[in-house]
Parts: sequence; C-alpha cells; structure tokens
Amino acid sequence: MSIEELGRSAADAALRKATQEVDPTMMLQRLHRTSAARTVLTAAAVVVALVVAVVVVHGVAWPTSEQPGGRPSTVPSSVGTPACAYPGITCLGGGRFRAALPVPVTLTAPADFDAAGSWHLIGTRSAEGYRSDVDGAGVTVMEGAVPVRNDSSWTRDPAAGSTAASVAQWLADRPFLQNASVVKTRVGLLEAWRVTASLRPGAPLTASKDQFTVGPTFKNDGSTAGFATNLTGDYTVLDVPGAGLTVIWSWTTQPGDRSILDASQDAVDGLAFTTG
Amino acid sequence: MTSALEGPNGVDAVVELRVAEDFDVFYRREMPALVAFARSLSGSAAADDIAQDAMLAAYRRWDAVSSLDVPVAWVRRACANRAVSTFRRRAVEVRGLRRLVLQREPAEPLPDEHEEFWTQVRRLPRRQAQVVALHYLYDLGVAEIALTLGCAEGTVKSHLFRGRTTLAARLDRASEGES
Repeated sequence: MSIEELGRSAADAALRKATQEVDPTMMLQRLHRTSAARTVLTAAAVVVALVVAVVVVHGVAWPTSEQPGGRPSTVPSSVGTPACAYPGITCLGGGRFRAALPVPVTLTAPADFDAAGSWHLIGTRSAEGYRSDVDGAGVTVMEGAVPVRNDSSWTRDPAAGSTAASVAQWLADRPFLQNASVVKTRVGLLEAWRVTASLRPGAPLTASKDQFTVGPTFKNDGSTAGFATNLTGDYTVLDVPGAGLTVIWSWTTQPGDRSILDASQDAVDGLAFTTG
Repeated sequence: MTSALEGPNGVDAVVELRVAEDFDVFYRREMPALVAFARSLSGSAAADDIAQDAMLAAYRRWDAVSSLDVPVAWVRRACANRAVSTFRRRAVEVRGLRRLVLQREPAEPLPDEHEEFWTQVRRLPRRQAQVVALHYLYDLGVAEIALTLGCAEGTVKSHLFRGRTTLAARLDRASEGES
C-alpha cells in the first residue's frame, strides 16, 4: 500500500469513527449554552467592574463608618467560578484567586480575563490564566524560574547572573531580540524589572517548545517560555523570598498587536505574592 | 466582534433567529468531519473541544463568516490554528478538562496502522501537517487548501510534497509516483 492509499484509508477510518461518535445535536446544544454563558459572563464582569469603580470612588471620596479609612468594601464574586474547583486554586471573591504556589500568589482577574475557567496550576510552580476577549493571550506566573541558554538544551545560562536585575538585563540582551527595554517597577511591595522586546526578524531560533521553534528564555518544572514568530511577550522579573527568581510572563500568539499585551498588564499589576 | 444581530430589540432577535438556524444546519453538516480534523492534528483527548471552540468562534461572528464564499474554509482554518497552537489548545483543554473527566468515555483508538499514520502526521512541521490533513481528510486539492490556509498554491504544493515524502520514509511506504 502506497502512502497515498494509506492516507486515504486512514482518513476514511477517522471520518467514520468521528461520524459514529459525534452527536451533533448534543454538541450544538452545548455550543448554544456556552455562547449564552459567555455573554452573561461578559455582562457580569462589566457589572462587577462598574461596582468596583463605584465602591472605590465612594470609598475614597466619602469615607463612612461602614468603610473605615475609606477603603473599598469587599465585592462578592460575580458568578459561580469553576476555577474554584481546580486543584490549588482558591476563590477569594471579587474576581480574586489564590494559587497555591510555593509562595502563594493572589491573582485578580480583570474583566478581559476568563475568570470562570481560566486560572489553574501548571506543575507545582506555575499558574496561568487566559484572556477571554482575544484568542491566544494570557499570563503565566513562573516561580523558581531558570534563565536558559540560547540553544536547544533548556539548561541554566550562568551568564544571566543570580539577581532579578541581572536576569532582566540578560533577557534584554538576548541575541534574538530587538527594541528591548528594561523598566524598574513593583509587584505588590516587591521590586521588579519589566522587559519589553520583540523578536528580531530573521534571528536564528534554537529551541523547540512543543510545536514551536523558539528563542528560549525561561523554564521551571512545569513551564517553558520563549519568543517565536507567532509568540511574543512581556516579562516581569523579580526575586520573591521563598520562591527564588520569579517571572511573570504576559504572552500572546499575535505578536503584531501590541495592544494585547498592554491590555494584559492589568492582570500583571493585580498580582501579589504572600511572602512571610 | 459584535454586531447589530446581537442587539436586544425584537427586529434584531428575528434576524438572529434566522441566522442561528442557518448556522445550525451548517454545524450539523460540518461538525463530525471537523472533529476528525481536530483529532488528526492535535491527537489530544480534548480534540472535540478544539473543534467546538472553532465552531463557537464562527457562531459568534456568523454574520461575517456566513457571508464568505466558503464559510467552512474559515472554520477549518480556525480549527487548524487551534489544533496546532499549544497555547490555544491548552486554553481549550483546561476548559474541557472537567467535562472530560466527568462525562466522556475513553475513545476507542483507530486501528494501529491508521493511528500510526496520524501520529506521524502530527510529527510533521505545523504547516505540513495541516496541508496533509486537509488533503486526505477533506480530499481537498491544492487550490482549496491554499484558500483554506490563506497561503499560495506553490506553498501548498511544496508542503504536500515534503509531507508525503517524510511520511513515506517514516512509515516505510512508497511515496507518490513510486507505487
């Protein structure tokens, strides 16, 4: 049997199997339910955002005895959140989640993040959530991150140094990047360095990440990160006591649209590590 | 992308009902093959959810998709991108995880020879795998594949040739013209 005949035969078998197993009526009903739920979820997220805005404004402008010091009151969770059922994720209400990483991190889901089915752990040292308004965008928190060599080995690059500041500069200097900048910032109370850059056209990409060919940047026990022609991101690097080098990777598979990463910054800014 | 079709007033609701009905017909006709396509490319237990996610994307912009000359090409491309994009696939898999655990019976595997064929297709470079899967599963020609993936016909020919040659070598089969 030639490869052509085998391909045809394999295709026939796959189509026959799918036709037997797929129940279009049931799946169509599920699609309509999902679509309706997402519409409700989006509306609920907008309502919650408005409520938070109102509470914050009132809290600052008109402190009352019910809100000592003018702080906003706690806003209850807007929807039943399946994320609460994911191992290692605790729902705190108000669109806030705590991920049980070695140093627990509190995540606040902005309106454009998929709060209902998104934040989850990858391995034991990473948590990840996805945007709901665009395809292929999200934020990954990597504790115990290892800066890796620019080859296919995914092994530590000693040239990166051992502090967040040195690692941020090392990242900005990666040969496959261009237009890199390093800006000092804060994540909660911790000093951090945010690196923005883009892939240099034609740069050799040396590592394999799933089905991508990437310029490798970081890894830990559950995640790898890098730049590819269809993958870019902003990196916020910090030293978290108890967790070591930590990278907050805001990524998108649409490198041509900078506005996606700009919009994801709210999720990065909403992170807080529970250090001792 | 939203449109007036999603508005709350009565006129829009009537229009939405008509469009939704067209989508349902489209869905019932195309979904089984789309699932087979997603399975062939992703090899993932969540392939059905990948196909469903592509259909959902089409549904949410159905006014635009249905006006295309070949709406199914749009859905196939959306599915192809989701099936080979680790990040999109992971998002879908996370959403589908609980449903998989709670509801789905383990899928029966294909016969070994066919399973091995699709395993080797998935080992091909991303674009080659998409081209090969579209060619065999949908019996599409070069021009139709080029339209589906939004690339030049010459590119499709090249990917198809390389893909088949690689598959033939890995599966120890004669490639086109040798049989």
